Amino acid sequence: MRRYQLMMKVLEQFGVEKERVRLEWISAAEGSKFAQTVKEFTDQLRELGPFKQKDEVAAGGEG
Amino acid sequence: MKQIVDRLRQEAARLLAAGDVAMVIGYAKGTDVARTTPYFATNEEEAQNLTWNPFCTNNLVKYLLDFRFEDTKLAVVVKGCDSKGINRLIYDRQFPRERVVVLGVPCGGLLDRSKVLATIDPGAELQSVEDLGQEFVVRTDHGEFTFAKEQYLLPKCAVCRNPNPVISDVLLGEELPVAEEEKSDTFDDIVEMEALDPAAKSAFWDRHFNRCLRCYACRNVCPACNCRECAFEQAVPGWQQEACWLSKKASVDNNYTFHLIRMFDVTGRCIDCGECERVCPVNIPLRKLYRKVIKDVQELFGDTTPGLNIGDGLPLTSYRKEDPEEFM
Repeated sequence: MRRYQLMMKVLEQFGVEKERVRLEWISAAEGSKFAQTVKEFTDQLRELGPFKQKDEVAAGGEG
Repeated sequence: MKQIVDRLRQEAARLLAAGDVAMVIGYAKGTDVARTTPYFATNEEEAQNLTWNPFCTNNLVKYLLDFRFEDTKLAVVVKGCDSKGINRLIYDRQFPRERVVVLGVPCGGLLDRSKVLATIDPGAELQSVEDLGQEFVVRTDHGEFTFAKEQYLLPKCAVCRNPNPVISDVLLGEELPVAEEEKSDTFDDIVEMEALDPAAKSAFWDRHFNRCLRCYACRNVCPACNCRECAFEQAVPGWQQEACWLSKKASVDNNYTFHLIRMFDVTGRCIDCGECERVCPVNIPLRKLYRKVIKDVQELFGDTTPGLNIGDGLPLTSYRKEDPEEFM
């Protein structure tokens, strides 16, 4: 679990927003929870829109 | 500095003559005035070629790994920064403590070769170097030069936290004083980086990883990279032999994956010696990457820079009840 904590920090450093990564604990018997989580997450990602990384490189970027 | 060199040669000659060690790994004169080369002395005469000056940049600890499956005893010259690597290798059981004699050098900082060569003719013959605390006096056959440490030190040395070796069998000079407030790292460079917005961070790393040639020099020089078989160098990439999740092709995506994996692999083992950044042929600021992890691990789990103490825990393989569990 420590890896996940660190991973979040690392991805943040690479410019990946926190909202784009999620870890959930779902048992094989919890079908409806799984469906619900995936639905929530895809909705969230749709709202965020596509990951812009590539476009910014093409535009030269900064930093 | 002359005393250190004399002491080093004397000690190396003594160890080799007595048969205590089969080889002394140190530094010798390099191909120009501001360069030294790793040197492997195996007898008393060769021990006289050993040297020490502010151009001894290499971390020699890595060479121990070349001898890890033999049974010979070795001596190795270490600076404060490199010495952490010895602690790590011993604790990781990569090299047994009883097979290494650590010749520790209290280090007053290393000079930036490129800055020095702007002043001295590379062909000049280095005669001696004197460390005066705030500056180095470099004597050559082309004259005498003074380099203020403030201006000419390598970036990593300008903010050095441990000039004295953390482990040594023979200390080849006087321990250098370190002010209390300078003992712990403040990670100023990383704090600055963290303040950028996500798009700027992403653009920063894209720009750098775009150049990565995947030459693996950072891996080859790294004392924390000591796997016998590297995940990045298999006939068919991917541990499953079929799952090619990382191609050997150098592209931004693959380079991100490579650096991300290496970053996690050296977590808790990267001693922040800065060798990766020095050897990178395309100048990727790799230390920023690994120092970020050191800082995060310190904040999340309380572990300090790896190798400072022998027996420091491995942050990714231990667990405490107080660990954050935000997703549970």
